[in-house]
Amino acid sequence: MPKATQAGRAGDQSMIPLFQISVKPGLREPPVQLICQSLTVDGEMLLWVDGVNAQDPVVIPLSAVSSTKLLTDFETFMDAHKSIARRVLLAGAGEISPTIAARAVSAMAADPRLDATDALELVNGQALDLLDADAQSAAYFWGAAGPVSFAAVAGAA
Amino acid sequence: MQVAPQRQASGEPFAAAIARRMLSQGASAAGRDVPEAELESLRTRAAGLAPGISLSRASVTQGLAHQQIMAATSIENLWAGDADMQLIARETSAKAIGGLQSTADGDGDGEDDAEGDASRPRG
Repeated sequence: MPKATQAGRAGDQSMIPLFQISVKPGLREPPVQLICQSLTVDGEMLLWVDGVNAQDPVVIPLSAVSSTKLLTDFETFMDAHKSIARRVLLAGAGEISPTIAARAVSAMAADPRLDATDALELVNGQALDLLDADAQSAAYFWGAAGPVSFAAVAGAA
Repeated sequence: MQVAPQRQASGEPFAAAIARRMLSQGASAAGRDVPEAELESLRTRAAGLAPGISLSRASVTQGLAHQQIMAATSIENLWAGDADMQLIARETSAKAIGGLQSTADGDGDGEDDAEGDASRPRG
């Protein structure tokens, strides 16, 4: 689906759109598919990559991601996997984001041997890895020059 | 809450988020031996990405909290009549509202800041 069409469909702020993106953890590692919820802030559509740290989230503009697929919205996704979703949400005890819930449901749907706790452990671990990689790569990227130097390079601060 | 220096500015530089993601994908974490030429290439590419996009972190955090409340509503609707799931919906909503209050508080410590008090409605 063209990105403009995806954005148009996902721009309805009465629902929580879920996108699938392809993330390559490392140069020599195969890409993994990640479900991310998107939100619109000041007209900019963003994807929440980590899904766990709402106070300091890793978000990227949808427009900057080359390969995305609009899956559906959160409610429709949960309804489509209602039995699994119930188990995941109960195990999450009201503390998981739509992104994490959808990833866990997706993992359980793909592997029936997983129980909800295992699935949540899996996707939470993956999210923490993403946060860790993000923090480490940021530190590496900025290096000794520090973020002020980076801001000048990026021209976006 | 500890705030990284780059996020203390007036806006979140989203090009930075993209750049970090690019590095996560392409160069991965510190400790890996990344050639300087590759790093420079990533810096250059990052510089050309989404320049000028700058949104405050508070706006993003609030947006996420609102979505969490929407998720709670979805749970409530999908499992109407299911007492366990209604409880999950309430807990989801309560935690999101707590997050919103924390964001409005400004520093995430859950306590009011002086400058934020005057405009905030009291329950």
